[in-house]
Formats: sequence, structure tokens, C-alpha cells
Amino acid sequence: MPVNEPHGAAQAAAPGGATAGARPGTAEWEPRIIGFCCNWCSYAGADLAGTSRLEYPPTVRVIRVPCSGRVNPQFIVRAFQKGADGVLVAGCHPGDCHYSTGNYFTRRRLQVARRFLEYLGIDPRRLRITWISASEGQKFADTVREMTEEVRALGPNRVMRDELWAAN
Amino acid sequence: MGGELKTASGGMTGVRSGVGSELAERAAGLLAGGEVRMFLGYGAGRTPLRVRPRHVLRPEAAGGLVWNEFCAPSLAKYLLEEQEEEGRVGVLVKACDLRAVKRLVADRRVERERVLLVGVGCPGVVDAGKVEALLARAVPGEMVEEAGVRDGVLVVQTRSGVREFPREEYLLERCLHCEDPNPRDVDLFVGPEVAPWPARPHDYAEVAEVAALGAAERAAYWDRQFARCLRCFACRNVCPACSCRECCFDVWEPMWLPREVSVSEQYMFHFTRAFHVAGRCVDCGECERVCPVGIPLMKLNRALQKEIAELFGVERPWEPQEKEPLAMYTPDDPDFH
Amino acid sequence: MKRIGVFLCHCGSNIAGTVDIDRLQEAVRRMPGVVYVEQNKYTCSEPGQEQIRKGIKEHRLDRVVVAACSPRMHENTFRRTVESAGLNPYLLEIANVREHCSWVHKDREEATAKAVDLVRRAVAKVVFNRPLQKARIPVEKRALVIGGGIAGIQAALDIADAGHEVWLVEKEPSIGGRMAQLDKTFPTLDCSLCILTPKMVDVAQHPNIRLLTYSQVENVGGYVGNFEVTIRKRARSVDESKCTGCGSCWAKCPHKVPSEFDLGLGQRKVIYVPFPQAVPNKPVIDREHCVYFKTGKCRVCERFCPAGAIDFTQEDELITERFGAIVAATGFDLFDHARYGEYGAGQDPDIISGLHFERLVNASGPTEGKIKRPSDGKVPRSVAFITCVGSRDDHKGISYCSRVCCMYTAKHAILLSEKVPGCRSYVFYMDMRTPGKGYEEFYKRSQEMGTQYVRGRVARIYREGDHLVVQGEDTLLGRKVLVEADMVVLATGITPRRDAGELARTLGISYDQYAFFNEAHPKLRPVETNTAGIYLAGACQGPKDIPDAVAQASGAAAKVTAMFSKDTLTADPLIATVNEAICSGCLWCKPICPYRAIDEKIITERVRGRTVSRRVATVNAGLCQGCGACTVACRDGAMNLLGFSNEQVLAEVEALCR
Repeated sequence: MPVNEPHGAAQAAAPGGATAGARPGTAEWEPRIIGFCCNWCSYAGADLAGTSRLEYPPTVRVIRVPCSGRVNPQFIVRAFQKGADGVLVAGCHPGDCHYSTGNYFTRRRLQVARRFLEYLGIDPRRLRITWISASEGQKFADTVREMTEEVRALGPNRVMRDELWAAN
Repeated sequence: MGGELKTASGGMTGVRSGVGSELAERAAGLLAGGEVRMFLGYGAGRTPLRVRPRHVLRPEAAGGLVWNEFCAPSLAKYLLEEQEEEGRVGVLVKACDLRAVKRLVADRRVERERVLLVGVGCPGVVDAGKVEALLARAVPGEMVEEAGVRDGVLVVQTRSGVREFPREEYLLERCLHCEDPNPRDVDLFVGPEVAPWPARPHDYAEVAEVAALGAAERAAYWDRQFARCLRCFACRNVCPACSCRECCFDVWEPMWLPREVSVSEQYMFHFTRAFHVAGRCVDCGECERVCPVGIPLMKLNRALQKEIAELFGVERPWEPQEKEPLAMYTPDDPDFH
Repeated sequence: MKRIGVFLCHCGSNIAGTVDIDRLQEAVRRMPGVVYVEQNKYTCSEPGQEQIRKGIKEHRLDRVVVAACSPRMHENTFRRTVESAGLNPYLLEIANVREHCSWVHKDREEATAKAVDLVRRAVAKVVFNRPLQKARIPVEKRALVIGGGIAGIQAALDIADAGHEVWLVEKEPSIGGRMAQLDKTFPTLDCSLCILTPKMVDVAQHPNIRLLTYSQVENVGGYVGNFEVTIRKRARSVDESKCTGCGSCWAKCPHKVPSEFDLGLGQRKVIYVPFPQAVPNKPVIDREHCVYFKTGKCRVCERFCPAGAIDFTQEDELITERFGAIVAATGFDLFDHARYGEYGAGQDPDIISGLHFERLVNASGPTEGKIKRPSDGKVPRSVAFITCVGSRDDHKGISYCSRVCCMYTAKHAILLSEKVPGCRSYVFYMDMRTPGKGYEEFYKRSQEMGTQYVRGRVARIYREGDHLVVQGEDTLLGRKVLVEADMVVLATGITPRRDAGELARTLGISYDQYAFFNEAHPKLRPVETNTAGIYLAGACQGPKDIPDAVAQASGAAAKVTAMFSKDTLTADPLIATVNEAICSGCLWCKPICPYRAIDEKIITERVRGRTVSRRVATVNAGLCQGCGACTVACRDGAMNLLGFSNEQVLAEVEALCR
């Protein structure tokens, strides 16, 4: 039984989707994870997972950014509002940022953001920040797999969710 | 109004009579001498428990300025509006207001040279909203005829009689944490220094309360709090850390904050504002004081102060830091994997 | 209303084998803004690209989305395709349905559904793409090399040989740097000055090189291609145009002070050249110790100068010039072994550093090449060498290895056994690091010549009457060891120059916790810094030996000549941009930028009938690398990033959450 339903919104199926992306509350619900990957490290790592034909669940949808330092916490909140059950932010390992310092800011900002989101009621496992280098294709696949399972166990996210959007 | 100044234990202080007239004299002098083109201070309000801001332009009008325990609001934000005109603006500041001015200066939204800071020692101010609510609970629709603080007790003359409120009951929450009620680094100081009282430490108890709830209860708690939000933006308007020329919440492209007044968007608003202020909050508590629906906003701002203090070893996060915590990093910051 | 064309690539069966392209096409057709969808077998092939060109022209497309492989593969390819059809190359977005979809998901349903989402994301984003032009920055084809040691000399020669003007600025009265202080170099035992001086002379004689010695860089402004540098040419008190270097002045000068070049082991005159082979061979008056400058008396040098070149009234000269590129080659200092209290705290004259030993063994040094110990001039019969003094020592705050000490210690042991036959030499070491060509063989040679290598650290060195006692440990034998030595040589580690941090701040480059200058990428960009147009050569970037310093210098020179091969530089247009209308001028963005690309500027506006001015942030298009970290620091969103703007990312998030 999902908790936190301030306006008791109805659940409706989204258009154009197959089982992946079926709306929460339906039997076929699968976690929807939005991933922010930096062009130089983690996006390349995700590409490597592809060229290596590693398999992982189709739950993640990647948005490419030049640097993980581009990720504004407001993007993360928007993702949760619009129906994401989890958000993944993957950047270069600290010290290896292509832009030398971007991921140090990512680290500071998102440490604070994640704790603050937890304070507001979002389980911290729904926001995963991790460092994946261009050679860590396996780590990308493993991260998606682990996060999918964690978020599946947590269930669909209700906090901050825009129920009007979901009902469309 | 005004009582005897007592020092030491118990913190039984009050505004000494005469400070108000000294202030009015000084302000008039500054205006007449052309040192400032405007003086920002307080004047009598519509009810005895409240004051109003006064933008005094002529020395003759300075007589309307008052200084008493009801002078709770911070005048700092008015400085922002006045930056467009040439000339210097004088402003009356308590110690907490001074932190607000320093924040505006550190953000380069107000130029220090164009402000003349007149400091005054503060005995602790009255939480008018709290007192009004207590009065209304006892007698719905209660009218206040007169009010004053005498010997550390707030004496209120209402239509139905006299009620007294001891200091612990009437004080604004931020005054309980006040370490030094006398603003330092000001240009002028009026009145005598006020003896400090034992300050409650910043222990973030109110934050721990919420954090101790389980995730579901926490979300339910914030749902209830945010459901009352009118998106009036009073908190943003009064906040000294919120001084952007064009606030992101007013911008249309991109639509950071859709205008829909739903709980979902309230989360976006409160999360974003608290996050934008994080590391720069001066802990003045004005946001919570002005909220018309009583959202415990300091529970948000203090939660972030606590995180930043713990994560990055910032000792007194409410004071302007040499390097703002979120505008810097160290190679050894707490990490993810 | 946008006219978006979407091109769905089969990539043979790489995509089409898993993703149902027909169903994908059906879903894409209904996406807002899409006016045309087409499938291609191999979109990146010539026929495939021709399809895109045709589609753009026939359907008057103003935005293009290609659903294919990773943008890291073919974004540039398709940008050129789109450009050749007359559309701005930045009006293109790519949906990665291969590496991120068909290659990692087996289930056809799931893969197709995900592909639809990924294309929806690209369509939602491309709506906000704007046409962009690459910015052009002019290049001043003049290079500045700071530091006249072997690295600076090599860089200057290489750039000058490529036909460009180079200014070489050196702090000391002569170029040559540390290499001039060495006697022989490992592993060849070449005489250091013999191989260095021809290069020094080349520098002096090269028509493209302007040599400024006894000079320092005072201020650097501007940016890549257009640095404006102010150099202080200190007053030598000698008119270089008249001086012939005959040496009469320093021969007759009656006053001596300790020589910095000899590290205090010997003396020099107050009017001096630092060493006989100095380039330029023109002396300098040390005004701090000169009797004339202190009391107005003497003037012996002026009396004896046959060319009338002495000029006591000479003043410092400030020269400002524009440069397209700067190479920092400022070298190193040595760790101060006085910090090791257990090794004599720098008080005992017979406990010396490796560079001191170089001066002793050098034929033009204070002892004319005879190994005499500093305290009494006695020829030592036993010498102890200690490696890793001030390197690999966390207690002294220096964790790194200085790379050259094992080798120069082996060299010192060899030279010692040649100069003082029968002298016993002991080397106390932790590890012997011999990574270069011929290095291991060289170390072997020192062992064969009788040097005794003892693996263990030295706990203490103390004086016992006439000699020193080295109290150490032989860890291989598991025994404590006491060695009586007439002299102890500490292989002190390489540290950055004491003023390295200051120079880095002047140049606007970053440095690490030791003050070595930071390279742009430790593996793949060892000669560049994060500040465009500033390059690194030599030990200022990290401890290294002469071959590596020379190699790096030539590498830096190659980068400079590559930049100078064009008249203008193109800057990637996907950079940060400020919306001045809403910018508050708080400048919180400025400290975020690692490239110092953000500055403030004053703009004027008409407000209610008056002209007012206010401060806003501004981005230097030549410096900004487009990371976007500043955009998050900007609370009102005035700072945006072209190509990954706030509008675009928010649209992508919403599109992917459906």
C-alpha cells in the first residue's frame, strides 16, 4: 500500500510504453531510473558496457552532460516529481575530472542534496552518486543492476510526485 | 514602555528609556548633515505589539522613529531596493540584522560604503505572532490596547484585562540563541551596550526531531506542512540570502517552478530555496517569522546548516565564511563510491 | 513550430536485430515537432548521410535527430553531414540506441520501449538547440619561456627553430640552471657543462630568441593567444652593450661574499658572473653587498673597466609585451636537510647535500674538483651516502619519490672512487630505483667499483671528535650498523622552488599540495595545464631527470608550434553564457571555474529615465571549456550552458519520466 497520497491520485497507464515504464500500482511496474552521465568518464563507461555486450536491466535512461558538476539538484527533484523512482549521477573519479575540479563540486553539492532529500522523506538509496571511469563498463552495468534491485524493493516513489502529470 | 536595565543572571533586561530619542536625534542629524539620504528605522505599528518600517527622508520626520522590544523585523532587505538611487542609506541594525547586512554585502548585492550602519544593543524582541496566538486562544478576537516590557515581563493590556508573559514565553526563538546582543563593526552605536544572557547552543534539536521520524512519517510530515503553503514568497522576500535580481521562481524560461500550487511543486519550491540558501543562511529566522501559515521553515534551513557543519567541518555556519562552503571543495571531502 | 526530422539507423542488425524499428518509427512519428521520420541501414555511410541531406532539403527540416550509436562515435560525423546540407551543425542531437540499448538488452519489447524513450529525449532536447558559430581568437606568434635551465633552453630552441620569436626570461644573471651546477651526468658521466654550454650559446646566438637574464615575470594578463606580460629587467649596473666580458672588474673587486652557485662552499666577488661559462658573460653588481651602494666609496670596478661599461645609475626596466603562449620551466629547489634534526639539523659542515657534493667534485668548484671535506679541508677516507632524505617521508610531509637521487648517489659513489682511490663509500638506501636506459647497469658499475650498499634507514648521524658516526640498519642482514665516516652526503629530494606558488598564481595555473605545477591530465596531457596557452617543461611539473626534462620541453614546444601554425584559434561554442538581463552580479560563479574564464564587467542601462551601471558576470569564450559547473552555482539561472542548457536538461528529464 503506497504511503503519502496527499490528494489520492488515480493511477493510469502511460502511453507508448510496454511493461518497462508501466505505471506504479500496476502489476507490471518496473523502476524508472534517470541517469546523469558525464561525457568523458561515465557515459564512456556506459558505452563500454555496450560494446562489451554486458547485460543489465532496461530501467535506466541516460542523460549526457559534459561534467557531473553540471547536475543541478533541481534536475533531480524534477525527475522525482515527474515519476522517476531513482536517480543515478555518475561522474569521473575525484581527481580525474576532465575539467579538473567539476566532480569535487558534484561531490559537495550532492552530499548535501542527498541528505536533504532524505530529510524530506526520500530514501537515500533512490539517489545514487557514483564514480565510473571510461574503462569501467562492468561497474556501470553492476551499478544499474544493483540500483534497480534496491529501488524495486523500495517500490515506486511517491514523495514529491506530480500526481496530475502521472494521471495524464 | 521601556523599563530599568538589569544585568547578570536571569537576563532581566529591557530597553532603557531614552534610547529611542537618542536614535531619533542621531537619525535627524545624519539626514540634516547630508551623510545619508534616507534612514531606515522602525515606527509605531498598527497594533501595540508590532512596529512598521519607516523610510525617513527628512530630518523632521525622524521623531517618529522608535526603539523597543517590538522591533523584531529585520530592515536589511530594504537596503537592496535602495541601491539603485545614489547616496548613502542609514539603517538601524540589531546584532542579528547585522549578519543579514553582511550577507548582502558578501553577495555583492549591497555595497558596504553606501550603507551607514547604526547599531543598537537589543534586549531580545517579542514574538508578536506567538503572543497574538496565545491571546486569541484564551479570548477569540482579543484586541490589544497597550503593551510593554517591564522588568523582563511583557505586560499586555487587552480589552478583557491585563495579561503577563514571562520572558521565556514572549521571546522570539532566535533570541534564545543570541550570543552577543550588541552588533560589532557598525559605524555608529546608539544607547548603552546590553549585557548578554546565557545563549542556548545551536544543537539542532528541532532538526533531530524530524530526522528521528521514519521515512514515511517524514514525508507525511512535510506533505502536511507544505500543503498549507500559499506560494506567497514572503519567506523569500524577507530572506537576506535571497537577493537575486530575478528570482529563479519568477523566471519563465526555463520554468524552474511551474505555477501550479500542488504539494509536488511546493516541495520543489522549498527544496530549491533552502538549497540555494544553504551555506549562506544567517540563521535570522525571519522566514519563519513572516510565514503567514506557520510553516516551520527553520527546520529546513537548520537541517542544511547541520549537514554542512557536519560534512565539511564548518564551525559556525551562520556567519559569513572566508570561502562559502558550496563554492569550494577539498580533495578530502566525504566521498561516494 | 519546429520541423524535426528523425533518422533511425538499423546499423545492420546491431540495432534492428533487437529494436523493432517499425514500431519505433510509429511512436516517433507522433512525437511533438516531428515532421519526418526515416529508417536507414547504415546512417554513417555515404548513402546514409546522403539520405539525411536529402531529407533536410526536401522536408525543410530545421532540426535533426539521429537514433544510432553513441554520440561519442559519430556526433562530429553527423554534424558535418548536417552542415553540408546547409543547416547549422549544432541543430543536431543523437539518441544512443545501440551502446545504451540494443547491445545491452535482449528482450525486444523492453529494448523497443527504451528506444522510444531515448528518441523522445533527443526530440525534446533538440527543440531547444540554437545555431552556434565557433568563435575565433587571434594568435600572437611570440612565445615566452620562463626559466633558463635545460628545459627552458630546449623549449626555446625548438620553438625558435620552428621560425617563431621566443623570449627566454631567467631570474639568475646567467642561464644554465641546475645543470650548470652539476659535474657529470648519469649514466654516461658526460661533463654536464660540456653538453650544456653549446645549447646555452645556441640560445644566445639564435636570431629568434631574445634572452633576458637577471629578469623576472611580474604580471600576466590576457588569455591564450593574447597574453600580456610585464617583465622586470633588473639593473645589472653594467651596460651590456659596452661590456666585453673581459673580467677585469671582477678580478679587481676587493670584496667577496659566499657564492650562491657554490651553495656557500666558496666565495664570489660582489661584481660577478655566477660561473665561468655564464651566458651572457656579462657581470652583475650585487647591490645588497656592494660597498659603493652601501657607503658611496670604492668604485674599483669602474676604474679598471676598459670599456667604461659600469653604470651605477642603471635602473630596473619594466618591459610589457604580448605573447601567444607561455612555457613554465622554472625548475626546482632542494629539500632543506636542516629539517632532519637526527641528521645534524644542517649545523655540521661535513653533513652536506648531494648538490654540495657536486660542487666539490666539479673542477671549477670551490675546491677545484678535489674532494675535501668542508670543515678542515681533509680528504675523506670514508664517506656515507644517505638516500631518500626529504623524499618518501610522510613525517616530513613529502610522500613522493624524487626520481633522481638513487642515480646521482650511485654517480657520486663512482666519482668518489675515481677521485679518491681507496676511499670507502657506503650507500644507505631503501630501494634502488633505476628506471632509465643504462641506469641499472650504471648502478651495477658503482657496486663493482667497491661501493657498499646497505639496505636500511639511518636513525641518527652524530659527531664523534674528528669524524661522524652514521647509525643505521642493514635490514637484509637484520643487524644494526654503525659506520664511521669523514663526510656524509644526504641525497636531498627535489622540491618545487620556494616561490613556485606565487608564480603559479601570477600565471593563473594550478599547483598541487607540494606546489608542483599541475598538468592538464596526468597520463595524456603532461605538458599542458588547465589554463589554455600555458605549458609546462621540466622539474617544475614534478621531479625528473635531464632526458625527461628535455623530452617534456620539446613536447611543450610542439604544442606551442601547433598553436602558432594557425592565425586564429577556434573555440568550441558549447560554452557557458550569461543572461545579463537577470544576472545579479554576485559572481558566485567565478570561484567555481577551473579555467578562470569568468570575470566581472560593468554594463550600463537605462532605468526609469536614468543611465545606471551595474556589475554582471562575463565568460571568456576562449577560456571556457564548457563543463557547466558554474551554472549550478548560479541560483537564478542567469548562467546557462549552450548545448546542455537548463531548458534542454529539464525537457530531457520530463521526456524520460513519461
